[in-house]
Amino acid sequence: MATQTTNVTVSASFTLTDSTGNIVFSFSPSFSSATDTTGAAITTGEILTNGTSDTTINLARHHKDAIFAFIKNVDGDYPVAVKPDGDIIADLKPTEFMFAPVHIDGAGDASTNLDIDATTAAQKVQFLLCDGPNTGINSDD
Amino acid sequence: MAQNYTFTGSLTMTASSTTGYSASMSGSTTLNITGVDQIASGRIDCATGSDATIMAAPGVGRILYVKNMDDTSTLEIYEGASSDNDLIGVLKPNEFLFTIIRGTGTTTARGTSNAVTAEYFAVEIDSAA
Repeated sequence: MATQTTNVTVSASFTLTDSTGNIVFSFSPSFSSATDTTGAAITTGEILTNGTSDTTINLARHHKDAIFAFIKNVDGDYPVAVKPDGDIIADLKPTEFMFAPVHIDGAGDASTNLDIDATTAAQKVQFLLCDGPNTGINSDD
Repeated sequence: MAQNYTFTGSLTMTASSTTGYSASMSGSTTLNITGVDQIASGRIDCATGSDATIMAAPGVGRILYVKNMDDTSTLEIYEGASSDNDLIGVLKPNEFLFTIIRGTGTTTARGTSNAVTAEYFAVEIDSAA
C-alpha cells in the first residue's frame, strides 16, 4: 500500500518600524515540519471567489485534521476572509497573506470546508495547501 | 500622541513530497499603521489549564505572529477564549503562524499537554491599514 509522504519548509521576515525610522522589532523565523504520512495531498492554485458569499476550496483529498495553509489576496480591490469551519482566522486586503497550520475537522462537527469570503465583490486568491501530522485535537475547532 | 508605524512582512512556503514533487509560494506586504494603542512582543509561557493572553482585544484588528518554542509539546492559538473554540492554528514544536485579523477578539494561547513557551508579536491596526 502506498502512502503519500509530505513536509513543508517555511521562512519569513517581519519588521515593524516607527515614523522616525527606528526598528521596533524584527523577526526572521523558519521551520521544516515533521514528515507526514497521514495525509494525501499537496494542492495549489488560484480561484475567483463568489461576489458576496463563501467560496469553498476543495479539500476532498486533504487531511482535515492538519493542513499547512498559505493564502494570499492577489486582487486589487477588496478584502477576503479565510474561514476554516466557519471561524474567521484572517482578513486579507490586496497583497496581504496568511500562513498557519490549520485544524479544520473538529470531531464535534466533522467540518471539511476551507471557505474564502469576499463580502464586497469577487476577488482572486492564491493558495498552497499541504497535509500535516495529526494535531491530537478531538474537540470542535 | 499615538505613534505611526510601518509593518513589512514576507513569507515563503514550500511543500514537498518524497517523490520529488514540490510547490512553492511567496508573499510580501506592507501596512502603514496610524495611531495604534497596542504593540505586544516577547515570549510567554502558556499553561495547559488556562489561557495566556497574547494581546488584549484591539479596537479594529491586529497583525499576529506566534511561534512554538518548545521541543516536544503542541501549542494552540485562539481568537477569544479557548472555550469559544475559535482556533486560529495548531503549532507543533518550532512551527509558527502569521495572520492579519480584522476583528476585536482577544488573542490567547495554551499548551495541549505541557506548558509551552511562545514567541510572539501582535500589532494593533487601524481601520485604514
